[in-house]
Amino acid sequence: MRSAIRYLLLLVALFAISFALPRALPGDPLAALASGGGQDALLVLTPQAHQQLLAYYGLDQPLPHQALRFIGEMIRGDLGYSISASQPVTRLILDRLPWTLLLVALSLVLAGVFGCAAGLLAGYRHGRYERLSAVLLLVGSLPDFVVGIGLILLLGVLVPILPTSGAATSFADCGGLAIGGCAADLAAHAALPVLTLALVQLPAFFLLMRAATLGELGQSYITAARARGLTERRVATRHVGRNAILPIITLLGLRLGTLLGGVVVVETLFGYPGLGELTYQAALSRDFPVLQALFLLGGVAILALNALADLWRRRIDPRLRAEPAA
Amino acid sequence: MKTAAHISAAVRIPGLSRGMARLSVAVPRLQPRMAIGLSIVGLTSAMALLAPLIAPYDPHAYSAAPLASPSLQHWLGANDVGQDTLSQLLYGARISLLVGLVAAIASTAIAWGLGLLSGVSRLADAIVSGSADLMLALPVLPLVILVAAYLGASVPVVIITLGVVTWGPFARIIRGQVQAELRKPYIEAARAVGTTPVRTLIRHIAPATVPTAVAKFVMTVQYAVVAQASLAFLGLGDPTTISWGDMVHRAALSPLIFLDNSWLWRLVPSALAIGLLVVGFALIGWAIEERSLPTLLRLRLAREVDEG
Repeated sequence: MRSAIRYLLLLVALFAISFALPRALPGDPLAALASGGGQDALLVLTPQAHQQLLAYYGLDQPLPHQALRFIGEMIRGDLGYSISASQPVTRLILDRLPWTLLLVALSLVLAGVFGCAAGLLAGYRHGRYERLSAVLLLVGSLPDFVVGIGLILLLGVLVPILPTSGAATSFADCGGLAIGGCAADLAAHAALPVLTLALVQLPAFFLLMRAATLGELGQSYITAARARGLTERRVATRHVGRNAILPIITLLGLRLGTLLGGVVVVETLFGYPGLGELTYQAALSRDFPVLQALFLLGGVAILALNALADLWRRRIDPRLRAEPAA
Repeated sequence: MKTAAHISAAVRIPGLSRGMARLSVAVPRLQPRMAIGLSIVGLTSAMALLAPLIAPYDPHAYSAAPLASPSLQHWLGANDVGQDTLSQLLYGARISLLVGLVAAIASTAIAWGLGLLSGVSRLADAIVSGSADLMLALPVLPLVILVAAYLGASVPVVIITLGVVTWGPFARIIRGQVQAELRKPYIEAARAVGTTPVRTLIRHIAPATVPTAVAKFVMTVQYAVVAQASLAFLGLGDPTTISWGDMVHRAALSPLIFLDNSWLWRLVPSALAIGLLVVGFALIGWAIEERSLPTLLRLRLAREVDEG
């Protein structure tokens, strides 16, 4: 109950920020529109057109009215109208969402599975994989785009086996029914971005799993399990692993914020048509409705995933179920 | 236990105040890791400080033919408009370090101040806990992009934004340390001899949190350097300055970059410089942590969890 209230409060705060931020900061989206969204066309606004646009976006109303309007729009799922793309923001986002989900899901699974498995192993044989840990720690500190550029140079330029840009071959003819050909093409295009994101995320999983495993190994229940004659493999997976995975689940929820930032950078680097690339385009053209919606969406996604992680941990860990929700 | 021996040796040094003794724990004898980290950061600082003296050309000037390959006149060649890469690399170090250091100073000061306060004041406690919670839910890079889009991504804007969005989790860690410290007998002793709460806080509790603050500082520098480079990489750099992220942006996002081998000098030096500097800070942070392990193990976890 208390955690439900906490999440609700955070949600309210998030909405408050995304309402207040554009209004508190100086800078005028209409001016950006007038300068043609930064780059392309030069659009000169007459005073009447300026008034019309202000009225259209409700920016000529007093603040409380704007707030009411904002709340109403949010309830209807209306995220506004993109200035540069002349499309509803919701539509833009829904078009891009699948690509980003593909990248995020694949890279999280890769990083989580391999990171946890390697972390469990390294923790189990402590002292054995020190060099691997060191390398991973340093790789994990690199900016996403540096890792991505490294991979491009390695697998796209020096040994050109993977496409380095886009989500599919342009104008590729998949022949309608030959989905297999298209799938291979999509997979090849997703390979480098997914690999980059996974490589950047993996160290956190590895290091935390290793630390958690080391912590569990000293516990007496491990000795008890061994004394009962369980195989070492069973001790590692069912006993150590199950306990060590708990902080990982928390990490999963908290990593999403970092991952979203990584998605923006990586999709931009690889020209991948997801939400991150949309963020980049919107930032270049100062498309405030889109930027605001993406910020809000990111925050809601982080909160939702954290709430899910809380619930999941409670499912796995009976000790948490016994206590009232903190 | 090397670490324990080192700590006790440091604490026993006569004539040193308590705070200094603790500080000497945080600034360890040079381990290889620390030495490598310090030399990378030191080299970058030298580049930044000496840039006007040693840069062969004005980094903004069109001093070479566009895409000129490396030569005796232009050691690292030139970019697509003919600006000297080496000069840009030297000047670019300034932005990375400036943003990293100032943002980290601001963030550490806020985290430390509020963390200490929240150990003794209910109101500050509520503020710190609430903001730390909120900061965990904020998508930091999209937020910074949004602010940078509104205000223009000038260096001060980036510094202030990064400083403001990164202090939460560490304030909470400091708060935990303050509360742990408050329960120790020596605090009771101090109270018994009539020390005021404010004096206790400054004289006794604050020094105990110095190692944490030092480690936090290094981590935040690293984080801010990455964030600034990422922003510049996205084209949200300050258009009047040259930074490594801008250089990567120009090179990596130009569609024809891999058609010839000009990426060798247009892309690799700046990307490498960013990577190296970040690794340098990571090594320093790592060495510091390992020195003052028990308290900072938690910090390591928190960092992994909070900032990546």
